[in-house]
Amino acid sequence: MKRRDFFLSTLTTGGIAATSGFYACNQHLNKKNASSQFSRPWWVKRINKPLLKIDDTLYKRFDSKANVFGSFIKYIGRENFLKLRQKSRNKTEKFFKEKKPGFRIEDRALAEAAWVLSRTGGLDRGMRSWNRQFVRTPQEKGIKRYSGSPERAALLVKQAARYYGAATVGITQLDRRHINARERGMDIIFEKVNEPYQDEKEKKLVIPDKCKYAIALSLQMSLDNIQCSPSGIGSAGSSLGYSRAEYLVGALAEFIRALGYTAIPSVNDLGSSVAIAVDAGLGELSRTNRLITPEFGPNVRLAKVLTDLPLKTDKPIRFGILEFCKVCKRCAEQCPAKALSFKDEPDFEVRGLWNNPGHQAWFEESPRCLSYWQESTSGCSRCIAVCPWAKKDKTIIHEIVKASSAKIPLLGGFFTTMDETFGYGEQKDPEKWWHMNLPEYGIDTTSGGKG
Amino acid sequence: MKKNNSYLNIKIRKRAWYIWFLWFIWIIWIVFWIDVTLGSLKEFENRAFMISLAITIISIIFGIILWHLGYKKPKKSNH
Ligand code: B12
Repeated sequence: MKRRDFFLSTLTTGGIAATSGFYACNQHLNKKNASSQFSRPWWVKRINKPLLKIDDTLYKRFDSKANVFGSFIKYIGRENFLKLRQKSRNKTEKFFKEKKPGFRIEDRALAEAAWVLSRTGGLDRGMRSWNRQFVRTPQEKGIKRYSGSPERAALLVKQAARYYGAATVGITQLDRRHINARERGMDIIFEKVNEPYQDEKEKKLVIPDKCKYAIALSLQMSLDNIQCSPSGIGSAGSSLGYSRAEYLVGALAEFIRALGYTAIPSVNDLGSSVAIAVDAGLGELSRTNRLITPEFGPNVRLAKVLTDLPLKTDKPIRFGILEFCKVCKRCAEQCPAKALSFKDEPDFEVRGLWNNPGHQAWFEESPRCLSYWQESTSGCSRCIAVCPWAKKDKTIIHEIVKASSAKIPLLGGFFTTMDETFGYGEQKDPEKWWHMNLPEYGIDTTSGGKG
Repeated sequence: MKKNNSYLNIKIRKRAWYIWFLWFIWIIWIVFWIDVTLGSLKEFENRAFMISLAITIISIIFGIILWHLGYKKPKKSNH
C-alpha cells in the first residue's frame, strides 16, 4: 500500500464508519417507507444508464445454442471432451474411494438433492410454465382485474417477490435485445397476442408484445457453502439457489396472473438475467462477467419475470464496482481454470462465439470454466467465494469497506490486500460445514431488500 | 495524596482536552475491533477472528500502558 493511500484511508474511514453505523441503525426505520423504491445502502447511486456501454450497431439478440452449455463439444473438440469426461469419472471414483471431504457420497447427495425443484422446470415447463397453472384469474372469479397505479403495483410485486424468496428485486422496461433470439431450436419472437405460446410446428416461442416490463430477481446463496467450492458442499450452494429460484419465479408469475395480467417466469432460460438485473438496478457488471450487488456481492442467483402489468421502473445503479474490479483482479488470479480476464479495462472484444458481441464487459474464456467443472467433478464457484464483496456482513467493517470502496475507488487495491491478509475467500473445510449451526436455507433472510 | 492530621488532601489534576479526545478515539477503536472479532466468529472466519482478537488485546494493553505512563508524574530531581 502506498503511504498516500494509507493516510487517505485513515482519514476517510472515520467519517465513513460513522455514516455506516448511522446507516445500519437507520436501515430498519427506512424499511418502513411505503415506497416501491426500496432503500439501498447510502453509498449506492442511482444513474440513468448503466456504466458499461452498448454498441447499438452490434448488439443483437443471442442464440443460446452458442453458449458453452449448447456448444461445449464444438468449442473444445470431441476428443478433448471425451478425455475430459473420462478423467472426471475416474476422479469421481477415486475421491469417492478415498472418502475425500467434499466429494464423498453424502457431499454429492446434498448437492444433487438440492436440484430437485429446479429439475422439474425449464423454458415454459413446470413452475416456469408461460401460462396460468393453479390460480384463478379475476375473470374467472367474476371480478375486475387489478387497476392500481404503477407505483403501487411495483410495491406489491416487490413485496410478493421478497415473500417468495427474493433477496432483492428491481424493475426495468424490457430491452428486447437481452432476450435470446433462439432457444431449444425454436425462434423466440414478439407478437401482438394476448397470451404467450409455443408453436412446435413453426418452431417458435411467442412472447406477447405487451410484455414490456422485466422484474429482475436476485436470490442469496449460502456463502458457507460457496466458500467450500469446489466440492459437493459448494455445489449445493448453487443447486439450492436454483431450486429456490424455480419456486420464486413460479409463485411470482402466478401472483401476477391472479391480478389479471400475463407473466413469463424465467431462470437461466430466455435471456441474460445479468443484463436485465443491471438495467433494473440490482447491481453492476463485474470482472467475472457476472453481477455484483451492493448487498450480497456476487453471491446471488438471478432470475426474472416478464409481464404486461404496468409497473414503476427502477434505475440502474453505480457503487464503484467498475473501478474496484479494475484494480482488484482477485477472481481472475484465483480462478482455477484461468478463465477470467486480466485486462485493466472492460472492452468490446469478445473471447469467442460464446460471448455476445456489442456490449462492454470483461469477457471470459467460458470453455475453460466448464472444462474445470468436469475436472473438479463438482462445478466451481471460486470466483464468487474469493470476491471481497462476498461477505456475511456480521461486522461493521464490511459495511465500512464497501462504502469506502464505493466512494474512493483508489482504496480498492488496499482493501483487496487486507481482505487476503485477513484470510477471507480461503476455501473452507467441507467437513466442518456438516457441523455448523445453519440458518434456514443457509442464508440470513433478515438482510436484503426490494432493490 | 498526602495525610495531613485528620484531613485528606486530594490533588485533582486537570487533563488537557486532547487527552479526552484520544481516550474517546481509543474507546471507539476498541469497540470497533471487538465488533470485528465477534463478527468474524459469527462468520466462521478463523483468520480474521484471530487477527482482530490480537489487535483488540494489543490495543487494550497498549492503551492502558500509555494511559498510565502519561499520568505518572515525571520525577523531578531534588538537586
Ligand atoms: C451459459 C452460462 C454460463 C457458462 C458461460 C457463459 C457462456 N458465455 O457460455 C458457464 C457454464 C461457463 C458459466 C459459468 C458460471 N456461471 Co453462468 N450462466 C450461464 C447462463 C445460463 C447463460 C449466459 C449466457 O447465455 N451467456 C452468453 C452471452 C450472453 O454471454 P456474454 O456476452 O459474455 O454476456 C454475459 C454478461 O456480460 C451478461 N450480459 C449479456 N448481455 C449483456 C448486455 C449488457 C448490456 C450487460 C451489462 C451484460 C450482459 O450476461 C452474460 C452472462 O454470461 C446464465 C443465466 C442467464 N440466463 O443469464 C448463467 C449465469 C450468468 N451464471 C451465473 C454464475 C453464478 C456462474 C458461475 C459462478 C457458476 C456458478 N457457481 O453458478 C460461473 C462463473 C463463470 C465466470 N465467471 O466466467 C449466474 C450469475 C449470477 C450473478 N451474480 O451474476 C447466472 C445468471 C445464473 C443464475 N441463474 O444465477 N455460466
